[in-house]
Amino acid sequence: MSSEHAIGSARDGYPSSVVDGCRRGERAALERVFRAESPYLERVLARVLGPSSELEDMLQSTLEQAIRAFPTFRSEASVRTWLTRIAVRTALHHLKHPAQKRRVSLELIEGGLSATGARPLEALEARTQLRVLYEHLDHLDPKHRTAFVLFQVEQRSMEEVAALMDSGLSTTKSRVMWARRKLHARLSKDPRARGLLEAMEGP
Amino acid sequence: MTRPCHETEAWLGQSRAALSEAQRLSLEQHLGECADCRGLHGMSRVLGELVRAAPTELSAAARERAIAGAFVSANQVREPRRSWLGRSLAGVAVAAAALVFYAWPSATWVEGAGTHAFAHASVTLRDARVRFDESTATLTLARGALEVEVDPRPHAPFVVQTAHFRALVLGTSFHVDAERVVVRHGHVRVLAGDRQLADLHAGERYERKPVVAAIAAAPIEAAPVEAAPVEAAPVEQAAPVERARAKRARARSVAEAPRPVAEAPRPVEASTDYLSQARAALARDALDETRRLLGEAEAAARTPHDRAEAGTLRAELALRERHQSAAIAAYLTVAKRYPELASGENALFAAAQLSTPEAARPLLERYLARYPQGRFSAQVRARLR
Repeated sequence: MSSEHAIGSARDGYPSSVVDGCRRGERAALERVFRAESPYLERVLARVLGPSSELEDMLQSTLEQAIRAFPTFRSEASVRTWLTRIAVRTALHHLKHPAQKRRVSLELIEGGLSATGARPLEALEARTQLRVLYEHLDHLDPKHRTAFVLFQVEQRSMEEVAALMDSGLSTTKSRVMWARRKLHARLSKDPRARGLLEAMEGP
Repeated sequence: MTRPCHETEAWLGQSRAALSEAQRLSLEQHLGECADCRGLHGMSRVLGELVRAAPTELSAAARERAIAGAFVSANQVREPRRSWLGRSLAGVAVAAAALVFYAWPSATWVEGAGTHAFAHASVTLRDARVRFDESTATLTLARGALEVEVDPRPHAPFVVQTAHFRALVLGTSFHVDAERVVVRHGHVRVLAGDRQLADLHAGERYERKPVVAAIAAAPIEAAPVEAAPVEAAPVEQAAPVERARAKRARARSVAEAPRPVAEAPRPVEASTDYLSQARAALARDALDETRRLLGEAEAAARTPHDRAEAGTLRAELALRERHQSAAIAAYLTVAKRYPELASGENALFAAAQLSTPEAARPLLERYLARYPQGRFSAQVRARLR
């Protein structure tokens, strides 16, 4: 696994004065950390939740909880890992909440086209596949889904996923395994996922 | 003999670089013999690549909004819960403050109908009386109802204060009157004192329960509250979104009870309901149902906001049906008719994004000319370069 994901490392590079400032609730220190870590947190949230108009809200909720919890931050893990745990908890809470199902939105159109530079119809196809995938992910248990995405998409080790989700290693392995099997079974039955299935047969 | 499935499953879908030489060999040997694991491995690999290729970052403006919003919300709900006595005293204090506030003569009251600009918000008054405090970006609603569209660009919250609650807005479009908040786009937090009553997203609403104590505290001009049906309920009782939804039927009956003043026009609410149902139908790919609901919404729509929202949904529906040119045309219609609304700005950018490079250029230039500091201006400049 990439060292970027190392749990408990002290590789943030933040001076202790900044971390202490965050603990004291100083806005300048918090803003410095948030600006640096937000792109990373957005990535985790976006991958767990899928294309959603609510990414901004989720980031805000994560940072809001971080502001409240910083006084209890003990530097046992890096600031990034600690914030990622909060983001994962926020995403899990969001997924468990039935009233907060994903909504396909304009954000999806904006990002999907502008970032990849693909032709509109190709980008549309990729977006469609992504939407189909997340529709099926929506049917998985939120914890299974989150573990699967962190392991398979974020390419974290089982140990890291377990630490981020505050769960045991064997539980995490089991969650990833069940998510993978259930997702495979669902996609195999969905004619809209034909493109994905064909790609799976490839090398 | 290869390793059994359960021993190699943890390596499925992993990039080769992430595995040791021994693990890689074991996995390849196992995949050569086990078709099931080959299928799972292929799926994990393809899905990983698909999701990793998708963009995940917010725009710089959206990120700044989220950071600013986090500080606002953390400060708004930080206070610990108070005892019932504390709450009662706080309620009395709020009531007294409201009484003084509303009774205080001021030259800045605006009343009647029409659209007004208050800081970074465009507010349409519906038989309303409002006062705006620029220093706190707070619009106080004394009477009537409002349609509010808040521009997210300044990264500053906008607050609408009623006699009973305040709505904290972070870039959105919504309806508010003395009893309820209905959100069309974005995110609104409904607060009373330090307590959060509801956290609303697009299509969701908060309806206040009528209360006994609040009536005594009603502001001088808050006639609708005095006329509201009375129920024995605690002051400022929290109505989370979930509970409000579960009790929607009852809330509707309360909302529909005759009130002489400040009742929001029913068509506005009906179109909002249709629009949120249409969005939900579109999200679950029920395209025929979306089309039907959009027709209802368009027939009921009385505000530019609702018409623009319906137009945007038409475009999204066309996109879902893979009618790209129809989607572009629908976005351009919204952009042309509602340039002053956020929906119009979004639509112009979306039309440009869907168009071919030759067709996109004039649209992008039009976007920059119309919204030089717009939500997508950085992306537009980058594309033009």
